[in-house]
Amino acid sequence: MSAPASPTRRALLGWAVLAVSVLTLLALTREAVAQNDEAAAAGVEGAERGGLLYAQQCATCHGADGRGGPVPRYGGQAPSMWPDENPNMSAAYLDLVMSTGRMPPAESPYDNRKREVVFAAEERADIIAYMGDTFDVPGEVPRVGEGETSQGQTVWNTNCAHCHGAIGAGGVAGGGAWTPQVNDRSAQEIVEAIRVGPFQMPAFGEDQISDAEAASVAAFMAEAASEEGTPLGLTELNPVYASAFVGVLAVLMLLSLVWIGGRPRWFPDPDAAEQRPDIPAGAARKTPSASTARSNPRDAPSEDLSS
Amino acid sequence: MTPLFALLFDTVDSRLGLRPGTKKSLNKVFPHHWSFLLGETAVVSLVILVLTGTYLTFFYRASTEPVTYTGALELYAGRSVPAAYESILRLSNDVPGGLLFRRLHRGASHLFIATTVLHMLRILLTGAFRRPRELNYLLGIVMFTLILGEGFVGYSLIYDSLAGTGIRIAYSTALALPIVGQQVAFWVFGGQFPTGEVIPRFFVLHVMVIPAVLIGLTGLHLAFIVRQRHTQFPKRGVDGHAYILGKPLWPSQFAESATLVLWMGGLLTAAAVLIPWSDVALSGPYVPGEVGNNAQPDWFMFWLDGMLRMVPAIEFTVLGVTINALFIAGLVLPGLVFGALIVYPFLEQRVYRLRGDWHVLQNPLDIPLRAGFGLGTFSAILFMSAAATSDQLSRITGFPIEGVLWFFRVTTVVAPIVLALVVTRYSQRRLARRDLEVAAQESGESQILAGATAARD
Amino acid sequence: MSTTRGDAPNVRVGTPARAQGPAGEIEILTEEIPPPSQINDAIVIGLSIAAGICGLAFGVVLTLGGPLPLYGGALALGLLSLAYAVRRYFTDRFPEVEAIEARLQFTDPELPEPETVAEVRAVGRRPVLRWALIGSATTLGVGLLAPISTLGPRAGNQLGSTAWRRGTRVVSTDGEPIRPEDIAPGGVLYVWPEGAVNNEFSSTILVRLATAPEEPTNFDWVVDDRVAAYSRVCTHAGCPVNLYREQDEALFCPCHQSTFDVVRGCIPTFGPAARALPQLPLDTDDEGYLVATDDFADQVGPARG
Repeated sequence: MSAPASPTRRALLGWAVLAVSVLTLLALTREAVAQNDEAAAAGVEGAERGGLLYAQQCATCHGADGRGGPVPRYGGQAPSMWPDENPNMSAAYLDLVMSTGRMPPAESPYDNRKREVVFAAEERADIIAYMGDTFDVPGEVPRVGEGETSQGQTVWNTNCAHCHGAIGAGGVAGGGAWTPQVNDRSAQEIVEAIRVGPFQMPAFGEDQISDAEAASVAAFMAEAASEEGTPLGLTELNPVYASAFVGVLAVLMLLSLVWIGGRPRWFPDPDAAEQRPDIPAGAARKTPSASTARSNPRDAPSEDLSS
Repeated sequence: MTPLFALLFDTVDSRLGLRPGTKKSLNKVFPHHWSFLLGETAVVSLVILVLTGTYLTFFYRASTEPVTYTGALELYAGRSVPAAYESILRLSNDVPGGLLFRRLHRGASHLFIATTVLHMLRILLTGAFRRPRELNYLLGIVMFTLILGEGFVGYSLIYDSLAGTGIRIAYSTALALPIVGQQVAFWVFGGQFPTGEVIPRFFVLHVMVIPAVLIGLTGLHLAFIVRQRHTQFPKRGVDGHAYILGKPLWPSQFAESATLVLWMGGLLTAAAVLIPWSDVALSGPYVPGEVGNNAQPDWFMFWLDGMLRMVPAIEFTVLGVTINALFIAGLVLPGLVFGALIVYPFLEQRVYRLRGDWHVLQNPLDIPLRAGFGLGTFSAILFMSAAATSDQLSRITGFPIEGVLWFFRVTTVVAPIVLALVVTRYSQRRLARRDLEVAAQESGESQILAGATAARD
Repeated sequence: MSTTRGDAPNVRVGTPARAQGPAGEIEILTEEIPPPSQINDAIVIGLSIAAGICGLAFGVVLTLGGPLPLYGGALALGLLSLAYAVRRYFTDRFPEVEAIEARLQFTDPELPEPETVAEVRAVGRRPVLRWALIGSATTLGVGLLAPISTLGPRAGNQLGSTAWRRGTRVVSTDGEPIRPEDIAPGGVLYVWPEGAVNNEFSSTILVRLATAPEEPTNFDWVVDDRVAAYSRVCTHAGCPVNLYREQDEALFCPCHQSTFDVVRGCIPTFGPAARALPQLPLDTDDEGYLVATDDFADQVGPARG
């Protein structure tokens, strides 16, 4: 057995290992960055770029092979990208989750209230093309027609208002789920969501909501968003927000009363002695507590104590 | 008096003999305090409601028959909607000033109910319900119940999605009455929901029956105050039980009232310009089988809706009679609340063995029972009202709705009791402290008196 | 304790007080005459003119069809200005006065007894006459309540059945009959009995479950192992239970948040609803369209008392 290395030697060895690791890492990173820039510089487009983007942003959870996998940090399982394993998969679905910023998730993939749109439209198209080629994801991204607001409102009230609210402001769905605000979304997103039924939302087939009706729903949402409203920018109020304004009005009214009626002190003369009808004025107190005395005015003698 | 006014007055007076009565009422003394104007604010709101309401009645169609909208609003162009809703659309979009009057009416109704609640709170806290004013107080409770009903019926007339949902829930609550529920529900709503009778009947109630009763009762309420005179806050050196200290009706109180009327009108109009009370074009008419998310009644019914959400899933049948959560939350518990309000003055009278006529107000913190009851009841109602906003709260805070509901279930039961006990204890201690101070003062006084008597003798 | 020292009038509590002097006589304790103020005058005049202009503006803009914020704003400004002008007018023109007035006392031992208020009194007779009148008036009064019964139909078993019958086709809101394949997987459809579209009590929801239904779902009433129909009138307070959470396979009522587990026969799992949503007996007819084989077996909607 050889003698243990001296402290100095061990330290030197450690530093050497560290230096080599750092340099290797740097080299690799440069490689990766170079690759990206290369790709961009070489004008890699379409499915190839889609593949690169998928590898960077999606593969960590959904797997390089697209078969899904555990979600780091938040737990749970990210779904597979293959249609035979995941019946939700469709081009419209992919376009929707990426264009709304649902995926890749800003924080937890399970709390869908905070979103950041990461991919631009071309990048989305590339990823979809890649996934269509590699994972056999079917379908096309739907096209949105013109639509009619009047029909849109009728269809909205029958199929959508109970989840997303009468004017698409979003609401609560129970079980930890929220229905997002819809009236600030693009027509493309709305139509895709109707067809896809992402996550907790049920899907509406063409027999239920035709393409024309879906476009109308989008048109109605645009109309709801474009309402000018009052000079404060308010359109329709639900009773909860209205109650906040009632509170403001009531406070203003109270302040006005204080101004008009004067005497802002609640009890104008807090030192003023308490007056009771059943104890003669000025009589010496016979009971321990002023408010809870127990005498009857008809019995009490009327004492003349004033000067 | 200006010569012109004197001439006019004399013309009428020489035919009706008004002078003594006018002298009596014109010089009536009103005590000072801004909180005494709350009732007056409510009356002014009522007047505004009647005036704007009359205007609205000229346009409103009390029917749910389908009618084609032919006005300017694109969203409804050529569409068939219930006549009531169509008339609202027309009034809001095609009649100049229509939307302003609609918003004025709705805003005034909010203010009416809010100031009535504050007024009732003031009466309860300061003890203006004590003898001889118990009758007036009970009258006030009846009026309060009426205006809650009036408000509900009023916003149901619009027959939009939210209104229809509210009517359905009211109908289901009527059904929940034991034994007579179904028959009562059929009588009130004209049969199995939804019938075409509901809107015409609500219209009659809202425009004719309740306003008539309300105006009559308000007149009675005011007449009682005129006869019994107003209570007032204690003031040093004045025997408030025998005298009223304050300002005369003319000119001071009249000046205040005139300013109040105009100022209120201005505030409500400004609110009507800035706040879209009861704009409903986007939400659509009521269609059976449809509902919108975020469904709540107006704020003054929040406490009822909160109870409906919080009372757990109870339903059992005993001797052929079904008792369910709707009955408990919609009828029994509100009945208890109103019962408590009605009973309280008599309870206080009994507990403290009060005698005589009281014309001077008290600080609620000096009366433990009142402090506890007031804070307990009011905080309970506040928590119940907050529970009605549970879905909005869930969305804003991020807590699941189930958690929010359980939070309210626990707090609504626990917090009012705790608050009531704390304030009762505080009030008792406050009294005890004052007893010690006054006792010390008195012993000082009696020494002085004894000294004076001794000096005199 | 209460005192009557100082400058207060000489009255004792406990003695039946008479008003000092005739009613309406008030005693003015302090009177403060406002000094003449040019600023005040300017304010009153200025605001009055402004209020008048605003009032006119309101009328003109409204008649000419101007925008609401304009005429509404004019009216608001006019009223607020006039309010302030009125207040300033009164503070300028009248003294500020503190007055005192005696109260009336109602419990006065020297007042006549209630029985002796009327001048003419009854000559003693048998009380049975009085009671006969009171009794019949009461009965008549109660009888006059009878027209209330005409306000609505007699309560029978109307709430015991809906418009669903054996063989009734399931239709959408457009009136179109439905095949099981028309519903997307994980989707729902809002349906009605044929001929009774928008009949609130019969409103039904059709669900294509993603997982197999379990007890207490009635499997005979499920089509294709996945398609089931339930009443969507909430058993709590009657709101439509339209909100479907696809992944949880749960129906959620937006009114009071009752939640129903669709896989397990729509039993309530949260919220104030106590009863499951009744399941519609479902089958397909010869042409493949969905039909009901019977009405709901359980009470639809909220319970009656």
